[in-house]
Parts: sequence; C-alpha cells; structure tokens
Amino acid sequence: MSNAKRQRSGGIYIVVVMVSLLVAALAMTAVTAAHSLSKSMNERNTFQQLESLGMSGLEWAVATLSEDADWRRQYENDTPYEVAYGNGRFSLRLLDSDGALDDEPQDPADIIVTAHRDGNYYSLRATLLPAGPPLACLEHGVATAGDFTVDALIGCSCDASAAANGDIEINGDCYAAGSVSGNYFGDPDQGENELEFPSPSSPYYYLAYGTEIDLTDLPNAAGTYVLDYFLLSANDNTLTGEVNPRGICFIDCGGQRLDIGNCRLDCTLVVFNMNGSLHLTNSIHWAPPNANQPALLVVGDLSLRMGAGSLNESNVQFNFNPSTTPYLGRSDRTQQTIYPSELQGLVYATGDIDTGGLTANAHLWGSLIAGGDINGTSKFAVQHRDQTVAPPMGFRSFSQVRIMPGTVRRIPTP
Amino acid sequence: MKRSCGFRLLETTFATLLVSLLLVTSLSSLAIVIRTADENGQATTANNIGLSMLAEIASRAFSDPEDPAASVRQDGEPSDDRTQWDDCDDYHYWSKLSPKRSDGSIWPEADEWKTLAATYEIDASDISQGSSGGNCRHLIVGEKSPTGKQFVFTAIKAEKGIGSQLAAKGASHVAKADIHAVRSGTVTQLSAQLTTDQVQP
Repeated sequence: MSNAKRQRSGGIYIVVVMVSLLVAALAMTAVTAAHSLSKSMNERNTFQQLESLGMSGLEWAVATLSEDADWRRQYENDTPYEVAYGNGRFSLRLLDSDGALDDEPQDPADIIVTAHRDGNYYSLRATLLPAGPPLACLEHGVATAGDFTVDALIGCSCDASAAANGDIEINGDCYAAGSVSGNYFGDPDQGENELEFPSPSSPYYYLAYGTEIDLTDLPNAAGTYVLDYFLLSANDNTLTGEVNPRGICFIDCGGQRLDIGNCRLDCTLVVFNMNGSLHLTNSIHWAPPNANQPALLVVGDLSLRMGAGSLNESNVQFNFNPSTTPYLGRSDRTQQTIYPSELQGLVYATGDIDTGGLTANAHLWGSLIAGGDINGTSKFAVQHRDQTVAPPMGFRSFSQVRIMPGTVRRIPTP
Repeated sequence: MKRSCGFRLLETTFATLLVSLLLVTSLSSLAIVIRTADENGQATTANNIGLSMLAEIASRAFSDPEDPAASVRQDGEPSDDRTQWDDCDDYHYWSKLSPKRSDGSIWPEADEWKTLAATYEIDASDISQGSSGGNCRHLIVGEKSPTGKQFVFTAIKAEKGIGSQLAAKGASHVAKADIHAVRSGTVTQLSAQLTTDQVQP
C-alpha cells in the first residue's frame, strides 16, 4: 500500500512536469515559428526597399553625371561619393576601363551604386553609354583622327567636308562641296579644334546585342577565311541560319585573315582580332538595318578593295533578295537581280583605312571614319549621309550619360 | 505515509509554479510575436502596394509627351482611369481608398487601404529640395492601413534615366521608306511602303 502510494505520487510529478515541458515546447515552437516568419517578412520588405533605393541611386547618378559635362574630371576612379536620401543613403562609384577617368573622354566606364539603410547594403553595377551630342566626326563625309592622304594622280570625291585631326594632303584631285581649304579641320596649328572620335572599344558595345558568326564556319583559302556568296540580314543568314533580330553580327577573327566579298549585307557587322587588315573585295552591297545603326565597325585596319562591277546575282549564282530580305521592296526567287556595289551608312575602323583597289564606281553613301589614318591610294567616292540626327550607339559625346540597357546587375557590395 | 502526502503537496506546488512560469513566459512572448507579426504583415502589405505604385509611376514618362511643360493631368486623362495616365505628374496629389491595379482590376490586398501619391521636380545636385525644371523627380507614395498606420515610400526618377528609356522603348519611328515603281502598260504606278522599326537601345 505504502509502495503503491509512493509510486502514484512520483507519477503525478512526472506527468505534470512532462505536460509542462510539452506545453512550453509547443509554445516556444509557435513563438519561434512566428518570429522566424516575422523576421523573414521583415527581411523581404527591407530587401525590396533597398532594391528600390538602389534603383533610385542609379537614376540619381545618371542625372548627376549628365548635369556636369566635366564629370570625368570631377570624380576619381573607384572612389565612392555618398549622398543621403530618405531614411537611407546611396553612394556612386565610377570605374573607367583603364583606371583613369580623365585621360580619354570616350573611354567606356561602369558605374556602381550602393544603397545603404539600417546596416543593410545593396549594390548595382551598370555600363554607361555616351548620351551627349553626336560626335563631330559624324558631320563629315571623311573623318580621320590621324592624317588624310590622297596619293598623286588619284581622285577622291566627297560631297561633304573631309576632316582630319592630323594633316590633309591631297596630291591628286579632290572634289568637295566647297573648297578643300575652306572645309577641312586639319592642322591644329591653324587653330581648329580637334574632332572627337569614338573610343577604340566602342565597337564592343554591340557585342552584347549581336550574334556571333563563327570564323570556322567560313571557307578558308590559302590561310585566309573568306565570307562570300552570303546574305546576312535581320531575317537571313545563309551561312548558319542563325539570325539576329536587330541585324547585328560580329566575327572574332582569332588572329586570322578575313576577306569579305560578293555579298549582300543588310546588317551591322563588327569585326575584330584580325591578322592584318580586313579586306572588302569584289562586289558588295552593304546597308545598315536601321538608320541609327552603323554598317561596319572594325577594330583594327580596313582595306577597301571592292571592284567596279555591280553585284550581279547571275554572276555569282545566288539569290540575294528572298522574300525575307527584299531589295527596294522587291523580292524574287531568281538569280537575275543586279545591285550596285556600294557601302551605305557609317563605316568605322579604329585603325587605318586604305582605299587601295577601290574604284570610283564603288561608292560609300554615309561616313568613312578612321581612328588612325586614311590613305587614298586608289580612287574612291564618298557621298555624305547625315547621321547626326540619330547617331549610332557609341557615336555620341560622353558629356551626358545613360545606362546601357541590359547591363544593370546586382553585385556584392565593394 | 505522512512523508508521502507532504511530498505530493510539495511536488504539486512546484509543478504548478513551473507550469505557470512557463505559460506566462510563453504567452507573453507569444503576444509580442503576434503583435510584431501583425505589424510586419501590415508593413508587408504596405510594401507590396507602395512599391507597386512607385514602380507604376516610375514606368511613366518623365513629362507629358504632348505637353512637356504641363504639370497636371490633361484632357483625356480621366482621374479614375490610370491606364490613360502617361507621365509622372498625372499622379501628383492623387489619392484613392481601396485602389485598383493600374489595369483597373480588383486589388484584394489593397482593400480598405488608402493610397496617396505626389511627385516633385528636384535637381540631382540637391535632392533634398524641390526645384522647378529639375532633371529628376521625387516620387512619393503614402499608404494608410485600415487601422490607421501610415507608411511612406519614395524613389527618384531621372529625366534620362532607365525608367525613361523603358518608357521610350515602346515608341517607334519611321526608319526606312521603300518606294518602288511598278510598270503596268504605259501607266507607271508608284507605291510606297513605310516601315516602322523599333528604336534600338
């Protein structure tokens, strides 16, 4: 009896303690779960507000830089500049591609904006695009950052002005809208301002929007890759079938030689990493897909060696105007259409351009711009088309900026 | 026997105290957590409505496309139809109880919430003060919960910022005009086709 009572008393104690612990454990679990949920909601709210603050910081940074045309001298590379906004702060940090903001006005630059609130940070990085007035080099039919030389007995015709940051030396004939002496912006000793040219890396802006044409897909003749018998547009790529809706393509030559000829190109093409110059040969009909896109961007030297003859479908046994890429609104299935051999739009090479082999029958309707020299070693004709109304990407001054679409991304806070 | 009864009283007292202590602690914590959760719930709702409204305002053009100098809603931009509002200042001094989504559909989360919006021009060089003709806009959205709790959300929109680029992306311009002649007997017929192209980035 006494043993049984003792057992019952201990049993009550254990049961009460266990129930207490169970209730406490349940209560603590509920508290912890509610706390965790609350914390998670709070973190989500904080994150969303920081994200909004970061975007506001990016907007503010664009407005701040665009307000000061001399921003490259006002800010130091990779140095934060902070401002308070609402309950938080954001800082702006600029990163030039070569580490010095004020050495070249057209150097590509990135921006980092860090939003800071209640000990939490959120950083965004984006690439800046020049958004100021059109570069002055677009105002000329022929513009070169170096010298513009036309050899003796060689004709060069241009219906607009020709400009050079170096000297202009015409030993043959030169036809301009006015007299050459009246229109060139040549020797700085004469007191003219130097023209602003695009950055040598500006062609790379287009890679983000372009489709690559693999060099190994092209035929190779005696060590030179050849792009010929080829139609490339926003709707057609007769080589690989892969099209780019904006009509932007690029070729990385990987240190190999490349010739382009007997083609119809209704696209923006970026070519880089060549061995020697890019050669345009035979007959080519080339036009940009839109008025505000360039036709050809070359990182390096360009040699214009197009022949006088038209691009004749019957000669090359190729139909260049299928229904998906009509020519002057007309398409067919025949191989009888004839196209003038000409380049339309903006042609820019970061290096030298030489016209050896080009004939006066092969025209450029647009602007011929070189980051190096232009050597007129053969006849050529340029009829200027004004692109200052809608300058292509990379051909505006960096006095104002905008964010390159598609480049805004979150990064770890530096 | 006596020892056994005394032990039962002691253990019952101790157990009761323990249960009381744990329950009081747990319940008071639970009350705090419930209150915090309720506040966070309201903050989350305010966050969802407020940031959505800010995003909606920021997606509009910086100034009126037809009349950039205008600072109020124009004719054809009715006060109860936000789908017709095309620029930021159309939201200036706008307030609405139980606001709907921008497309006019019911927004259950916003039921009984009151939204207020305002936009002011500011200058990037001093974003703390309003500035007529500034190159930025200060966007403000206030949210008032059914229980009266208030939340404020702010953002900056630059005249040539990302939001403006997105707003302009839908625009198109005539980039190419193809005119070709079709000969039919002795009559030459001209037909023209205008092609509109999306503005490239």
